Amino acid sequence: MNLLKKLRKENNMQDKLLSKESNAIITDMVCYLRSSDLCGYDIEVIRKELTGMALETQLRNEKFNDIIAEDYKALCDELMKNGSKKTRYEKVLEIVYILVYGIFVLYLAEIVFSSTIINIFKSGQFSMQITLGFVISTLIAVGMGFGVYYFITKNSFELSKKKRKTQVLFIISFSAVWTTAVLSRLFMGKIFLLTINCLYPIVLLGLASLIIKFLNDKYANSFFKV
Amino acid sequence: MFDKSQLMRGTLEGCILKIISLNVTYGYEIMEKLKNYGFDDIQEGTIYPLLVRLEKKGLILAEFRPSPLGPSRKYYFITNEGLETLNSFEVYWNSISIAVRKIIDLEGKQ
Repeated sequence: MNLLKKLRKENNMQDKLLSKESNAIITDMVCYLRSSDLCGYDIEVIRKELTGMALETQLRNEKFNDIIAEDYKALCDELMKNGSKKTRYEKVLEIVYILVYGIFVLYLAEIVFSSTIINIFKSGQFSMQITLGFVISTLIAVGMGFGVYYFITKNSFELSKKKRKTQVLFIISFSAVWTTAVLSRLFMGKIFLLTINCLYPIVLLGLASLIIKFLNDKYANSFFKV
Repeated sequence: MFDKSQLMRGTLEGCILKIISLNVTYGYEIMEKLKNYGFDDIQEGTIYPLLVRLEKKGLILAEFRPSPLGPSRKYYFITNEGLETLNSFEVYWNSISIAVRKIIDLEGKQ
């Protein structure tokens, strides 16, 4: 069992006891911490401690923002300086995990929303044509996933303060990239690259997912043995 | 205006070590003690990164324990390395505070 996930689950349960204001502050802080190089374990421990502090202030009828420094971002920067950094191994695992799951989901969507699914049910044909449009739009979509994650976490404080400039920048960039992905899917959807049995990638991606999950769990649990 | 943050950081670390060396304690209690001793503008958010830093440096150890208020609380203990650091902080602070006092008490020769 992944003990980091267990800790995350416990933190999620504790979050429900927080007041709306405390929850908003901690969410912004944790979101910002996720944009850093801090290792996942340290982020969850910090989250647990901040939540504990916030719950105690609630029980003392005080406000959480009165007991922590006014500049939340500076506090997070200070925590980032002092925490353990992600190892290269953890970073690679994280990126591969997102890549594999992203491609897996998009690949399944391609099967469901193309003629492949009809062929499977009508004539038992598992062959599927991979188009340039699919490859390019998948790459753009996965890249956009990384971009959105980085943008939201890095600008969590600005976004929750509803800073117009940041929001407009986000909407414009998101729309532009999304439109490019859709257009490339539409206009290059007839450029066939190869024909494959649609089950092979499912098996490959499924196996890759299992291996990454195993490595992730093993790595996450190594923090708890100390 | 004098920027007190740099001076405060090092000084506070020493004071926190001293407080923890006397009793196993937790963040809020440390903050209350510091306030009682005259660090009026201290907040829990100020000392929290310092506690994380001291823990990473191995000068203190921490353990979650249930608190009477409900959520589990992180209690801090000093390590042998922390005690050594505290001793050297005390020696250095005593010498530097005497030197600074002497300089501050100098009469201006205009």
